[in-house]
Amino acid sequence: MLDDPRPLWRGVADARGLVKHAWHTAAELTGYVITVDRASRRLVLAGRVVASDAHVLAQTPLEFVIPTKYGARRWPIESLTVTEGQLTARLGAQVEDR
Amino acid sequence: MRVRKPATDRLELTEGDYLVVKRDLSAGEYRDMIRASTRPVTVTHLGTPGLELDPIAAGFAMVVAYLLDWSFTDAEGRKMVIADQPVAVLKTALDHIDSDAYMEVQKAIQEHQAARTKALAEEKKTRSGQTAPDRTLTSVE
Repeated sequence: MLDDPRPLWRGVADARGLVKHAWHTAAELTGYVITVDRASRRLVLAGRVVASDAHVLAQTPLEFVIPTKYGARRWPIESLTVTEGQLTARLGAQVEDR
Repeated sequence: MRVRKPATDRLELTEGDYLVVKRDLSAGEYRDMIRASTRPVTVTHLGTPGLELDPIAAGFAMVVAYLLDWSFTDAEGRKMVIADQPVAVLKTALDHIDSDAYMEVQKAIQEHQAARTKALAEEKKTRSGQTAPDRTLTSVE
């Protein structure tokens, strides 16, 4: 499954994904996609930043959260870069839904 | 230290229910709460602008500012999801619970806020080692 090149998660249309520190939103993403990097076998998040808070973005720990009708799906963020409005992050394993 | 690490507290309610709330509000969250609690009014004949507190809006604004999650379920026993949801979802959920349940939520958060205000005042006193000096006496010296 880890070698499957298809994205594990892809935000549909205008779906928002959130980079959060506790309840504070560090960045809001659209067009996000989570894939598996074949070389490192790690989860990689990429998305377009539509809103961000530099102060919160500098805090740790951060997590990537996809709010859903039934709660939220969340992954810890291990490292993150933002370049020209594009965010790329390495994610840890998905945290069990609340 | 002027920035606190975000922390949460669990407030126990009746019937085994609970709330998860922010321990303290940041300046921005506090400002949003005050803004949602008041409306601008003209308070003097000179046209000085002021603010008028709306007690109903203030209670609701406080609940919205602090509340992060809860154990509440709907009539079918399904969890009413508010964690990580947009504020509009939280407000709608608060509109749908029974009025006595809402009052219990508001009271619990009011008590939490009062306890934190007291704790922070104590903490400040301990940090500075003493209470702030009286300005008049200081100027005489």
